[in-house]
Amino acid sequence: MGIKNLGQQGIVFAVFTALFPIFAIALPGFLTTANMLTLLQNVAVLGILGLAMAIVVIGRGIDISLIAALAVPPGLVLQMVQDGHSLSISLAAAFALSIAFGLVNGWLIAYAEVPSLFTTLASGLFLAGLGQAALFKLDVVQWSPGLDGFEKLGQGNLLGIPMPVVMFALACIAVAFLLRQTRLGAYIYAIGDNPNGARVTGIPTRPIIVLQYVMAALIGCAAGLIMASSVNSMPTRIFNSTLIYDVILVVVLGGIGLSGGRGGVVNVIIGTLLIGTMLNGMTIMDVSYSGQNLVKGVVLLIAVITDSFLNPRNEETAQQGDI
Amino acid sequence: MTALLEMRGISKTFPGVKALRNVNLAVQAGEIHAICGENGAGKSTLMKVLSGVYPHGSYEGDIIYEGEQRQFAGISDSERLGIIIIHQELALVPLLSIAENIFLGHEPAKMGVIDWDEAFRRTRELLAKVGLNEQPTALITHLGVGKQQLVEIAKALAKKVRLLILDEPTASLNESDSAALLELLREFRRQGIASILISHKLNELAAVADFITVLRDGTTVETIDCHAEEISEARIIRSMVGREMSERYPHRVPRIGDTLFEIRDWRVEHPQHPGREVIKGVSLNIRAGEVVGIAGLMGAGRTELAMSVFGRAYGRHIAGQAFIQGREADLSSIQKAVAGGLAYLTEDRKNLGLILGEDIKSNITLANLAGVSRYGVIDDHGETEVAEQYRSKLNIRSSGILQKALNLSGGNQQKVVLSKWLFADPCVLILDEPTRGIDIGAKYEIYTIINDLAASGKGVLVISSEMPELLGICDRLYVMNEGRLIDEMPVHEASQEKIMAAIMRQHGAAR
Repeated sequence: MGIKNLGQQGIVFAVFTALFPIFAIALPGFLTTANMLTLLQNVAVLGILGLAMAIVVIGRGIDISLIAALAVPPGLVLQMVQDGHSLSISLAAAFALSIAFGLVNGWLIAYAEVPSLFTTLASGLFLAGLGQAALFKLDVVQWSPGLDGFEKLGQGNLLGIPMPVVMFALACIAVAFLLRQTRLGAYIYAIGDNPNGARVTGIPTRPIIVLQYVMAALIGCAAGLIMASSVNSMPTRIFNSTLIYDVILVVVLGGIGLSGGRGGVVNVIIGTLLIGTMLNGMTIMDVSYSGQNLVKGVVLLIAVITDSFLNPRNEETAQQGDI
Repeated sequence: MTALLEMRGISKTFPGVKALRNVNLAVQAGEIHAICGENGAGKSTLMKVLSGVYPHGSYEGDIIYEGEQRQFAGISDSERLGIIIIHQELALVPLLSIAENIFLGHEPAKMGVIDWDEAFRRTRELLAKVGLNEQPTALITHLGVGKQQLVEIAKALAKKVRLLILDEPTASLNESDSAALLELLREFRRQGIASILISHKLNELAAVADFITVLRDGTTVETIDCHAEEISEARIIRSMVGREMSERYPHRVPRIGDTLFEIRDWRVEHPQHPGREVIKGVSLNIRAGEVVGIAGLMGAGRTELAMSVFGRAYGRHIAGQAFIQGREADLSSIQKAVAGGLAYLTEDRKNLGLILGEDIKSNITLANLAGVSRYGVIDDHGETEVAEQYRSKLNIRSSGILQKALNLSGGNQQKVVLSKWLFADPCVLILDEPTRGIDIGAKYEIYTIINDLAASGKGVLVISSEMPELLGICDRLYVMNEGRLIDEMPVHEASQEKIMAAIMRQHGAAR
């Protein structure tokens, strides 16, 4: 058990602590204050998305629609403000859209019992399509004067720490509290480890599964707002990027078993650090986009294989599996 | 004549339980050899040893087949030598045709391309042999259980069977299908194929078997030669249950009060087969301070009854009334059942009872987390206190309350599940096979807990396949068979013979 417990997160953390000094020595410009801040800033959004994914994966699901949830509701905020609505109404609309989206995802998965992979694959495409076809005028929704001041969420700092990093830290604390200190969190672990056992213990499994996807969508929306405010626009084409792979990479590499019921916020942080360092290093080394994808693909494959070795699903649980 | 199969001194141990102890079995070519015994006597384990499900090395003793010592590493080894086992739950693929199922895994092929003409031709031959009048292309899902059973046998014949093992083949068959199946076994006997038949239907065994080996508590009691003596069901039953009762159960003076829980005309349909009633109008009651038992064979519907009552955890189209403390209770969801004061300790501890990856503490508080939290936030100290309290009260042997449930022995796991339900503070506990797979010492502790529960005025319903256990701990017994309660008796009037006779009487009446 010792190796299994320490296993993945220990190994990954070791890789991170090995990789970091190598990059620091070998890559000029890596260990500069400016680059460190960029690195942290870049991974903050990834880390927040990782937290959303972690909640769902611990509950034995997966949410492929996260990138749509990141792009579309914040895009709606920018678009509505551009069209002359007030910021607060726009934000309310975005949160309402996120909640509705999470409810649909959750209802399909918990009540209609469609596997989460397929549900979110389709719903994400739907939401992204809806945004591009009906909500946004341009692929990149531009910043407008009505948003002035809001960019501090992405560009401001608190005691010298970039705001996205502060937000990531706050999100980590909130999600850790949720998972470890609340009944809801305990139920999510129980459902992820043994859904049938949780059900016959009297846990309202279905409403809790719905809630997981609502939380994921809301966290995704928050990550999107941070992203938009740090670049002063919402490039909605990000839906077509490989970002979702990075998020899954963070979660799986960090050691949150895809079989559910295992791992926590610490794993997300470790996964985020390694992926962030890796991506940043590759960018400094000027590795091409396709080259980066190749590396990410290999690492993700290794992580998934390791995961199914460390956290195998047995026959009984496999019947309940979504992934 | 040398035996086709001889199993000598077979012993098999599971963690904490000795499932088989020095069992001997000899089967001649072309005989029908019946094996009978109570649930848990070791019948299925013995067959799994024989067929290689438990590979050589995981048991002690020798298997001599066709005159040679065999060391099966897996089921394919035994199949190659013509030992075919047909399980109670049929292993057919429902959406494939009869022919596809029969040749699944060894399709007749020419250069890697399946020769369907050949497959259909041979399927027709095999179906004719087993007397099944269906097209080879018919889908399994469109066949009744009886016909599916025949397809399984045809599949066995396709593998050149020499020793056919049937585990409860007639359990779900009607009278004419059962008769046809038994006739088929007689036909096989004429062709020199030996059969091992495991069945609870003693009248059938008495009718077709050449020999009957009786197992009890993992040992061979005797092998009865059916041609040498007159076989009666009573004779077999005596052999199956005849064990002495000693001080295996803690003493208790029952103080029985008013009716706590009652169900009336409870009916449940099978979740996957709408219209098939699994529970057919059951009425029962449990009084305060009373331990009530439900006896019955596997498949009698006891677990289905309990789970359907417990917030419809099983079944569909559930009808009937339930009363808790005299008031009609809404048991339409598990949450409502728990809130109403019911608890159900599952028979499937590992899959339904525990969150194996979580620690003892989380498992104990899971059913009543509200009891250790405020505004949805768990009070760590309170939770730890509760867990420690149950750990010492129920004597859960572990390194601490943070030990994972996965790493506990069966008895201690069961105590964790019991703790979980005790902390939910129910007024009626339904305990489904509470001592399955745990050792004698832990059993005694569980009995003591049950006694304490009853003494504190709770009602306890115990489902158990071990009749001596029911007789030892209950005040009153119901006997269940085929979805009905067929008998009720105070424990001082009950005996294993009486219970078995009630079940057999109904089996007899059914045909």
